[in-house]
Amino acid sequence: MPSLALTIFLLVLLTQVISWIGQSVLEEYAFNIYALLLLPTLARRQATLRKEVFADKQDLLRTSAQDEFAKWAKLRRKVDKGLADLEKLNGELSGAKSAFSLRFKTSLFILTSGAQWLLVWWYRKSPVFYLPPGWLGPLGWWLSLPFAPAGSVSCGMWQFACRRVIKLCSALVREIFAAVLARTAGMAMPTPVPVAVPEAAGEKGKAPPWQEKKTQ
Amino acid sequence: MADDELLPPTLQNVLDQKTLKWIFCGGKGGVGKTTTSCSLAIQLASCRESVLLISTDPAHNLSDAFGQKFSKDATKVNGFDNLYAMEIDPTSSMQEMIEQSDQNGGAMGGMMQDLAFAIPGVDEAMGFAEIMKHVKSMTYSVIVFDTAPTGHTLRFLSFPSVLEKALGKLSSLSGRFGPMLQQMSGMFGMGQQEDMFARLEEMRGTITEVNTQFKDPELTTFICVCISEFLSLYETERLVQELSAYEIDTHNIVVNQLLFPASTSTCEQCNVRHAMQQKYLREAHELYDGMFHIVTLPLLTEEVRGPEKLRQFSRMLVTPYEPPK
Repeated sequence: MPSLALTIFLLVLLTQVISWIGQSVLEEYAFNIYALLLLPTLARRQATLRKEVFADKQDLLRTSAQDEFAKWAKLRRKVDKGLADLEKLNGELSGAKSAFSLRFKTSLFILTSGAQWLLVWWYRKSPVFYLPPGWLGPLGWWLSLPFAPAGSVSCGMWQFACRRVIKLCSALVREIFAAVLARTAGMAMPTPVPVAVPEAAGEKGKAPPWQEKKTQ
Repeated sequence: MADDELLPPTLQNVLDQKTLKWIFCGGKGGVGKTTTSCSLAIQLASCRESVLLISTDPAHNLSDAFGQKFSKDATKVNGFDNLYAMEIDPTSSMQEMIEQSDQNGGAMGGMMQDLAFAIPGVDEAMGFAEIMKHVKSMTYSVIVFDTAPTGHTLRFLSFPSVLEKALGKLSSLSGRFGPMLQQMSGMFGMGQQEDMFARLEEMRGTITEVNTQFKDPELTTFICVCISEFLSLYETERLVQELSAYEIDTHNIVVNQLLFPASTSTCEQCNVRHAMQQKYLREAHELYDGMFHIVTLPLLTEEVRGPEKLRQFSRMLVTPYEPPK
C-alpha cells in the first residue's frame, strides 16, 4: 500500500518541519494573517490610535505648560484618554490572541501528532508493505510489531523509521552546511599557524608568554 | 466660547441644589480651603435647616478661622443658630477603635484585626467609615467637608472603592475559614472572631452606602479651591481628572486670593502679580468654561478671621466681587 507509506512519511515530515520552524514563530505568522483577515477593524484602530497618541504626545512635549496652560491641559487629557483607550484595545487584542493561540495549538497538534497516532492506530493490522522473505533473516519478525501480519512492516515501525531517517538527514545536512560554512570562513580569514615555541621557553617554571600576564 | 454659555461665577448653584448632602472643599495647601468652606457653610446656614462643617485636615484650621475651640464632637458655632462644626483626625479615631475592640476582643480578635489591617489604607478608610457612621446618626441637612490638601483628599475619597473590594475578599474568606476558626477557638476557649467578622461586614455595609452616596451627583459635589498660579492650576486639573475617574461630581472652581491693584498703583510687585494671575485666570476660563462655575475671590488686606469677617467674605460667593475702579 504505497499511499499509506507515503501518507505516514509526509505526516512525519510535516511534524518535523513544524518543529524546525518553531511553533511560536508559526503561530506569530498565523496570527498576523488571522488578524489581518478577521480583525481588521481592531488592528487598524490600534495602529491609528497609536499614531494619534504619539502625535499628541509630541505636541504635548512641545507645548509649554506655563505659557499655554489651557492648551496643555487639554492635550494632556487627550493623551491620557488615548492611552487608556489604547490599553483597553491592547487588552482586547491580546485576549483575541490568546484565544487564537489555544485554537492554533490544538489544531496543529491534531494535524500532526494526533493524525499520526490515529493513522497508526487505525491501520495497526494492515501492512505498509511486505519485505522480501529472508531479507533480515531471523531478525525480521519485530518489524511487524505490534499487530501487522508476519513478514510485513507495520505502520508504527514505518513511522519510526521515517522519523529516524528524516532526523538523520537533517543532521547530515546541517553538518555539511556547517562544514561548508567553516570552510568559507576559513578562506576569508586564514587560521593562524601555530608558532613553534622554543622548548627552553616552556621549561624551568618560566611561564609561556601567553600565561605570563596572568601570573603577574 | 460664547458669553451666553458661561455659567454664573457664583456658588449660588450649590445653595440652590437642595438635594446636596455632602459638599467637599479641596485643593492645595494654603489656597484658602478653610476660608472657602467656612464661608460656604455660613451661606448654606442661611438657606438650610442645619449645617455641619467638618475638618478632616490633621492641621485643624476651623478653630483658627472662627476663633473658637472645636473638638471631635459637633459644637455650635458662636453667632449662628444652625451651624455646627467639628474637627476630626481620621487616623486617631481609628486608633481609638482599635483600642476599644482590643479591650473586648481578646487575642483572637487581635489576630484577625492584624489580618484585616494588613490591607493597605484600610486603617484610614475604616476611620473614615467610623466617622460616616457617626455623622449619619446625626441629622444635618447638609455636611461641608474641609478636607486636607489634595493628595490626601483623593486618597480619602478613593478608599471606599478600594476598601469595598478588600473587605469583600475578606468576608468571603471568613465564610470559608469561619467555621474552622470557630472550632479552634472553641477548643481553646475563645469565641470572639465572629464578632470581628460581624463588625467587618457592618463596616462594609457602611462603606458601600457611603460610596454610592458619593457617586451620586444629586447628593455629593466637590468644590475645587485654587489660586491663580501654575502649580495650583496644575493640581486642580489633576484633581478634576481624578475626581472624574472616581465618578465624583465637581462643577465649581473657586479661584482665591486674586489681586486687584488700583490702576494708578505704582506697586511693582502687585502689578506684575496681577498680570500673572490674570493670565492664569484666562487659561482657567479657557479650560473650564462651559462645565464649571468659576468663582473669583479677591485677596483682602486683612485676615479673614472670626464669624463677622467670614460672614462678610461669604457674601462674595453669591454676589460676584467687583474690583474697585
